Amino acid sequence: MASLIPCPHCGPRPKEEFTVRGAALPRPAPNAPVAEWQAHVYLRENPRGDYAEHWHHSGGCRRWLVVNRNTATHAVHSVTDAAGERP
Amino acid sequence: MPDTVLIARPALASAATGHFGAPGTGVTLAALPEDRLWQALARPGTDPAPMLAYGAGRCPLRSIGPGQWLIVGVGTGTLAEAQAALAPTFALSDQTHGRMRVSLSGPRAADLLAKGTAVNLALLPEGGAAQTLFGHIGITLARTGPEAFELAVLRGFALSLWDELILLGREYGIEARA
Repeated sequence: MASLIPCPHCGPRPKEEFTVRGAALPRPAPNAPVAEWQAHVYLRENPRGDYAEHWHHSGGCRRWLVVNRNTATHAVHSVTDAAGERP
Repeated sequence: MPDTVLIARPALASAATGHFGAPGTGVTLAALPEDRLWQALARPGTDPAPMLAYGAGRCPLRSIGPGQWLIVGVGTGTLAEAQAALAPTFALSDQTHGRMRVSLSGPRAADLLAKGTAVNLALLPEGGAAQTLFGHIGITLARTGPEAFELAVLRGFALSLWDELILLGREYGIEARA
């Protein structure tokens, strides 16, 4: 796993300061079929390659971040504040 | 009459003091008075300048994230008065009882801190602060001088942090004063 996460608020910090929630996925519509919600909540791809995840900087600024990283090379492509993606 | 009587006691009352490790004093560790410490919240991007009046010292206002600050100091006035003056932009809560501060100074203070935290201390300016982990203990690190730092820590972790700092400082020679 990537060792240094460039937090947009705190600068580069070790992964030990963060808590990983899991994949950052688009949320289904409130009235979407149960099967779609079931997939959203429980089913994950576990890809080898690029992956977008929600990370919480629990040991630092305590903001939720979206970390785009590569699970094979450990490269971190981008880290943004999750609030920035809200409409 | 309440069944339980709460006794006010300094968090580091039983802390080890004296000189430890190598000869000389590369680092001095000292407990700071448990004076006022508030936490403030606001919308990210808010200018914290109005809160400066309520802090004191070399680093009165410590940014611990977007729209989050610690206010340290010995100023006058109650929390309620400050909250009334700063509302609705800022929300304050009193953390005096919840956190305490220790100072770490000396020519090797930065070397000692580098053993426990990944914050780049060379880039931390005087008066700057960073919320981080020291080992597994969450701290608010502030730089109060070229070779002087302050660590604000949750009260229950203060003694653990104190012992850890002494252990890690032995190779530099460390003087601990409660």
